Amino acid sequence: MDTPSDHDEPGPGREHPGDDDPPVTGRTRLSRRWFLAATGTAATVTLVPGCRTRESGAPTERPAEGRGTGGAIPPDGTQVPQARPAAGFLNPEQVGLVAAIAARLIPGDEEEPGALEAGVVGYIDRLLSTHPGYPERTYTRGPFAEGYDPDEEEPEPEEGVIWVEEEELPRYGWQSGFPPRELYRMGLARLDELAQQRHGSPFVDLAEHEQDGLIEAIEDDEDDDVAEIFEPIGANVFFQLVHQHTLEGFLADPMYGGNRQLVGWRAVGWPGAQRAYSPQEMLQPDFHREPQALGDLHPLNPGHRHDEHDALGSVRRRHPAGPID
Amino acid sequence: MAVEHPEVDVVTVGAGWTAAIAAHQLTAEGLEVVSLEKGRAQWTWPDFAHNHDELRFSTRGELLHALEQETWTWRPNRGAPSLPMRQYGAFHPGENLGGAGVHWSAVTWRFLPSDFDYVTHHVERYGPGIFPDGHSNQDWPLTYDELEPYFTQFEQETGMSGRTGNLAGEIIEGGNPFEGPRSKPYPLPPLASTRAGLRFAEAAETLGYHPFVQPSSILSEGFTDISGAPRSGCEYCGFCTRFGCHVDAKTSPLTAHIPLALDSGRYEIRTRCYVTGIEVDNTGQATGLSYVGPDGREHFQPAGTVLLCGYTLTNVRLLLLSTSRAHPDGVGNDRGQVGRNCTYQIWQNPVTGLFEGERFNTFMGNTSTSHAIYDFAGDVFDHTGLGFVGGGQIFADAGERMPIGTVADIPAAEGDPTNAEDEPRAWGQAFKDRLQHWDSYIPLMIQAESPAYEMNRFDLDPNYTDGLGRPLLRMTFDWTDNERRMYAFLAERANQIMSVMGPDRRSEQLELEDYNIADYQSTHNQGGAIMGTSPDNSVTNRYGQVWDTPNVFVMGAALFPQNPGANPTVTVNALAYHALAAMKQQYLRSPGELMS
Repeated sequence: MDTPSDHDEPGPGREHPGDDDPPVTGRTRLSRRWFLAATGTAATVTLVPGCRTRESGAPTERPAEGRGTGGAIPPDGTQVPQARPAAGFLNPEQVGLVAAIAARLIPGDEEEPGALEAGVVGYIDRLLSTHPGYPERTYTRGPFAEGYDPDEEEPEPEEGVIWVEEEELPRYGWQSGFPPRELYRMGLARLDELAQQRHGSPFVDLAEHEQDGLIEAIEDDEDDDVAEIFEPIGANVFFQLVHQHTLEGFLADPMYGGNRQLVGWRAVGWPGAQRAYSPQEMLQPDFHREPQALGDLHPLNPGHRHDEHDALGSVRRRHPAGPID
Repeated sequence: MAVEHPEVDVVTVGAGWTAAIAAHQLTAEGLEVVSLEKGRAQWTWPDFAHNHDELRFSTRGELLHALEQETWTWRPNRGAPSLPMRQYGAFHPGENLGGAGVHWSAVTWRFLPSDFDYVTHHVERYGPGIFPDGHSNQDWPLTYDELEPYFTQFEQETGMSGRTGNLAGEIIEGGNPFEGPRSKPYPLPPLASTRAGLRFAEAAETLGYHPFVQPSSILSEGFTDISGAPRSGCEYCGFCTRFGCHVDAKTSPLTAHIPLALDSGRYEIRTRCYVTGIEVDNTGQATGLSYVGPDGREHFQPAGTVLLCGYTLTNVRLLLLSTSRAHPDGVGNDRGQVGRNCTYQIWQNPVTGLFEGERFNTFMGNTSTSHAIYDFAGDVFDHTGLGFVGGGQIFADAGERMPIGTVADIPAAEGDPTNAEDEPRAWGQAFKDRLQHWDSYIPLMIQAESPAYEMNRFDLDPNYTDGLGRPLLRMTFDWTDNERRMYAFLAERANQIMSVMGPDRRSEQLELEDYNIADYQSTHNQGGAIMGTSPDNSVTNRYGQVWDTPNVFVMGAALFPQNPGANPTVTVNALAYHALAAMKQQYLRSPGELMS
């Protein structure tokens, strides 16, 4: 049996594994500073306030190869230094492009923070550097589906391809054969190509309404030039991926790198990780509680080690060797 | 060479609800039981103590079956190609100790009496013309009355919250007046009410309907279950479906049955064991289960009796994969019955209302903390002249809202940009402006029947395989005009309720869209190894005992001849209790013989 999910190519060998074949140019130094500003990453170990020891079951993104916190879990309640990678998956140009897209998906400013202010770009870069494949459970075996126009004849059978009427494809859900890293590499380059073709400039240099027009075009995926340029990944597939990751970066727990200062949860009015609400609170029309990250959720059964008691009290004590692994 | 283990009395596929119940009862009879669980061990403490994380558990499906190894393919009809569910969509089978019984929503309906004698009841009331062409519905081989003691047993043993509506024929105000008669009231009062649920209930009552808080296996108060351990009442934290409960308020196989079975000393659970087939001897009787162990090697667990306690899709696939000289088309399939009557569940959102400036605290509570009406469920209303068979419940989706999965659902304002699918674009300034309304909308939901048809069935996929190279299960399924009419009828009534609720704006979906596997609907796959009265109309008898291989029992919703409009788990468990009672009375005296 394979290991789950992360299924594709081995880890990064270059500084920015998101690089397509052309090497990073001489702009690296300048862009690098830009990159740090845009992603909020820093090449240091930072002490994250309020981030306490995780209990078992609390999540961590798997660290990128060769990095990470590793080692023993310190005593309960202490603050732990979190190592953050100096550089992630995306190269500076890609960071700029992702930032420009995210800024249009959830616009914002200091008053009303959007995707950029929430750190969505850092979230995406960290996701891509952490997971060689999909972060969510994904079946990646072929053959893969290709759409065809039902007004025309069904294409000849082809090894590794299942032909499906175009209109029917959305009923089957996600069917892409490309893992996220590939989709970002190829999709970002193609978006810039579309920008060049339609407006004569890179995406990041376009006016907001022009950027919006291009994002609409890739969401809808109805124009011939879009379809042609986004061959073979599909414009809407790329849109869906970046859109989903942007929502995640805005609204997921901040330990994943986005939702800084819980701005996403404040925008929707969600208190986040909470242990309890009372039946009375459920009925309050003006209920408000400050949002809280998982790292600030108080421990259950503080002082108890995991192997002492489970909530049922008995199973592990009565079965020290354990009938269960 | 497979690693061969010492023979035991009973081996189960999986360690979820029905395996836990069986292990508890059979070890009490002195039998040795082994469960083979594909996932890992997990316990309320410490594993669920700190799991309040939407991204990990809900978006990425931490507790769900590893579909990266084994998924399911689907096609709408025989003429269309089948493709795999590559990422989680329509349904969410579970993994790990306790199975989907850990991450379930714990909404716990008993089916209606007329759901059991389904065909007889409808033909008597309306004549045979009520059923559409090509349907393959059939009566269950047992009645509500026969199952009633086992519904009650499960409710009393584990604790259940709800308002009794029918106590031994007496209708009690405030409960579901349409439920079948129950011999005992719910052990606990219903869960707390929500603002959205009460808004819905008020409107429904205005229209003359009978709203009530949904019944639930989430404890509304502290309760001591059969394990003897006191358990906490619900904390309404809002992390429920797709999560394990941090205080054990949500009943699961981990809360009582598995610990009790382990305490017997006669129960062993082997985790990270992926069952690959039912082995049979030359006479066609089962000899045990083959599996791949955590060491990556093939193992064989011999057993006198085999219980298929996996999810519907797992059980059906194992029957089909277990081919032999004695059963060339798979266990239970000597007469081509395996795969028939694949049904699902209509679970849709016909209308959502936005109430500007109001906050409903929809992030608190859970799926059960909302009111429902049963006035249009099953056959509790007159179907004469309506042109369809079946019905469903209407309820307000009032709890455990989390943002990543729902922000795209906030009803748009008029003039907000729409995409090529004519849906509001879930990005841009208009979308950002909508976020302030995230707790101000109430979706009304329909959960309705999925009748059985000849065209809807399971078989093995010709193109796609699991991580071991064995065929995936293929589901051929779509809605028909009968369901489209049923849905339209229910959606119209939901929309009328919404009108009384008086939203500032609403989004509507008043016609049933074609079935798809992209959107989560419900983990209510049913049929494929149905129970019946003879080997010519079913895979098993009324006890789930396989006609052609009587020392194999199917547990779970694969047994349902068709799908009633309600969550299936309590009926799954009641069927297990029913089967186990018969096994203790008859089967164990002469294992391997068909029970009468």
